Amino acid sequence: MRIGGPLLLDLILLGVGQAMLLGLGVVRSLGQAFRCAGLAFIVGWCMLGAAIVYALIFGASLQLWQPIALAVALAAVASALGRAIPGGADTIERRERGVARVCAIAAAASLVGYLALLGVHSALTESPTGWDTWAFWLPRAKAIFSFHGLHPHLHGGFASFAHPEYPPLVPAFDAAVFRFAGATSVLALPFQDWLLAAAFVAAAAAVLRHRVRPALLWPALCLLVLAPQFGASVGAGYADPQLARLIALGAVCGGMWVLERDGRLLVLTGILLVGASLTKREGLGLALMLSVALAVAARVEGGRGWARAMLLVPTVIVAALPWQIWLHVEHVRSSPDYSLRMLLHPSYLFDRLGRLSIALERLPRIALSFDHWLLVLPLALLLAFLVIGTRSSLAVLVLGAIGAGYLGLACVYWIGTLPVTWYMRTSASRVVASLVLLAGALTPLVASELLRSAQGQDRERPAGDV
Amino acid sequence: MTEKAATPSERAGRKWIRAVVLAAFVVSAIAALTKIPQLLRAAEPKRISASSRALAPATFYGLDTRLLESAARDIPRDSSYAVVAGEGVRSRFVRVAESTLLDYWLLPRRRTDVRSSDWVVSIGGDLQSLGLRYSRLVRVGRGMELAERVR
Repeated sequence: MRIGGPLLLDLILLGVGQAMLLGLGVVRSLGQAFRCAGLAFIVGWCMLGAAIVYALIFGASLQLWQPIALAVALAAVASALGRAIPGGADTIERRERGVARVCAIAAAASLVGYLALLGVHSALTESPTGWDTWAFWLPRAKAIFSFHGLHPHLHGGFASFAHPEYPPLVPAFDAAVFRFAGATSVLALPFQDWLLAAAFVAAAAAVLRHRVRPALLWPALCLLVLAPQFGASVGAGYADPQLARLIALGAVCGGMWVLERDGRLLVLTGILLVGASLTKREGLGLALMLSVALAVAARVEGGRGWARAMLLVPTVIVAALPWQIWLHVEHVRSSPDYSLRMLLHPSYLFDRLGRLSIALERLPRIALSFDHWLLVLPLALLLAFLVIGTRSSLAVLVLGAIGAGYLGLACVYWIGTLPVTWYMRTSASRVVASLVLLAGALTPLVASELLRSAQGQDRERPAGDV
Repeated sequence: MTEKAATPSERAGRKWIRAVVLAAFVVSAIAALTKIPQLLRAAEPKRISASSRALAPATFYGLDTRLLESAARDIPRDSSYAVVAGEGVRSRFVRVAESTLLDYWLLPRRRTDVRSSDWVVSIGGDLQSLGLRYSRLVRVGRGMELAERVR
């Protein structure tokens, strides 16, 4: 296995992300760059990944120089933003003392220790064994690498595998990993996925630390990471875990924007949701749902600029459009498991009400499963209900996003063409991850605001965008 | 930052909220602790050979890896191949899984239809019934074989 090349690609992703954070004024010192490394890595993954997807759509062959050239161009444009956008103050919550300090350190140490163990496991032991992984995610990546691009009409090429209509960010990134490795080094991919999982945790911590005290932040993140499904999904080769991380991190940045109205957080939310919309078909729906939930939450919170969240809606739609146009222009025959048009056919829907009731009953059972997610969702829901009286905007965000996502996923199973029990058995535990991770990632923020109000320390309402 | 002085009932409510939040976190933490042994077992790093890890998609589903290994060894990377399946392999799951896994495993070899392929991979199929001439036959076992066509 060759790891030097993929690690170079990782450094490039980090560089692109840091340039963006520098441009936005989020990072202005070496210390900030270090603390925001996880956020930079994920932002870089979204930006360079999206650029590679568009380049492939326009016929690029994904030669080694192409991702490098794209990265240089993105970094140059992103860092130029620095002249236009003023930097913000790097405020952090107070340091802990006594028992609270011990709790924070113990939780952070447990989290880092477990993540490190997962990292070694993914580098030495993990293999992508999931059916969908080798039925279409990995073959599509290998096809992009082997045949130098998408080539939709080539026998054995990108469109020859199941679900060619799925957005190609994950296969495109995997193909870039292969290109940097110089071979189809499939075994390098679990470690790449672990890097994204670790970056997600670091990014959530970096964003939340401005408002959440360490004694809440680290235990809450530790509870999320210790959920068995979090570790089990790392390196499995599906796109769902990365989609869940992007949606959850988007919700964290968006939730912080609702409370602080720092426009840079909204830009980061937009970048993450664009990445989500190019990662999986459900990504677009979840991104739109989250955008609307953020706008409503910001309206409830009060202050100016709440409608800016609605700009996320056209942003993610426009970002997803080139792929849809490419599918149409190239006449790619797709085999979708569902068609949203069927939601407009009352008789079709009425005949399948049984499917809806099965989905409505089983989705929460899986999301609330102790063996999958411990108490992540019950804890988040409890806090969301408690915060209704004090920070109803956060309650709207958490309950609205989870409720809308739940109904959306249930609708997918309702209109789906596959036998519903089999369909749910093979996919439900993966797709609910987006909702549980979103809830778990927002838990520290909700708990913090709840305790802040319980201590009579409500911060002032936001005035408007920075 | 600080609001006006709270009434006794507000203070009681705030204490109640703090207690509930603390209790919820403690219960969640205890629940997480019960899963630690399982998590450590699942994440235990074991040094596994690259070939075993690469073949894990097959072994995970209990498939015979010999077909994959033989096909990758014998079919040149610039050749095309077709897959025929039949009752020689009784399990429909095995036929579908082997066929799907071949698509992934044999890239960059391109899968085409039988008539235009350089090789035919049989998963329990009947190669003779296809009416093709073969220059080479590789029997893998359990009803699976590879055949290079005379072109």
